[in-house]
Amino acid sequence: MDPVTINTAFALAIQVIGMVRQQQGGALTDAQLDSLRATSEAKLKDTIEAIDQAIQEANQ
Amino acid sequence: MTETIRLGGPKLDPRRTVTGMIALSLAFAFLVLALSGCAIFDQKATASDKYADAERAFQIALDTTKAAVVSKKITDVESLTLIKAALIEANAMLIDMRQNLARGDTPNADYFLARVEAALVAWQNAYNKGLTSGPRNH
Repeated sequence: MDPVTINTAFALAIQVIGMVRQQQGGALTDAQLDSLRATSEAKLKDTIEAIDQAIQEANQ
Repeated sequence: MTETIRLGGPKLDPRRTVTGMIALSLAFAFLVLALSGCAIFDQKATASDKYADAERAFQIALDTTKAAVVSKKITDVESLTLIKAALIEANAMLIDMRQNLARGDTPNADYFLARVEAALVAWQNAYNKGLTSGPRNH
């Protein structure tokens, strides 16, 4: 078999593996990361409110 | 007079040889590109995984804190203030980490992760202090 053909086929195979891995969830998408961030922000807001309330009660 | 004797194999056509070498070079360049593409992809996956893990750890810290505060396990004002400061710090570090990831600066992921971890260690110390401290400020 021609070495050029073998090399090209090998390179193509690697690209296909890369594409399959991407489809199967390699890097998280920006939307997933943004969703994580939004959840953290919401939880932080709730927790800070609870802490502020506890501090207020303790100071009364 | 010199005569070249071929013992076997096809005669080499110079034009075909040059074309073959160009094709081989192109195939090799394509292979290198494919490999480097995979490496960059892996790096991005690792960096986003690190960021996602840091966010999840932060959310666990938030849930744990809220549960302890609501159930009045922690009532010490000094500890509550330290916990609040540590959580705000961790949040700021996470925002930095997210922005860094969005810029595509994946090799620096470890640096930003270390900053988040430092803030979470400060949170853990304050949280443990709060659990062991009585409600002294009542």
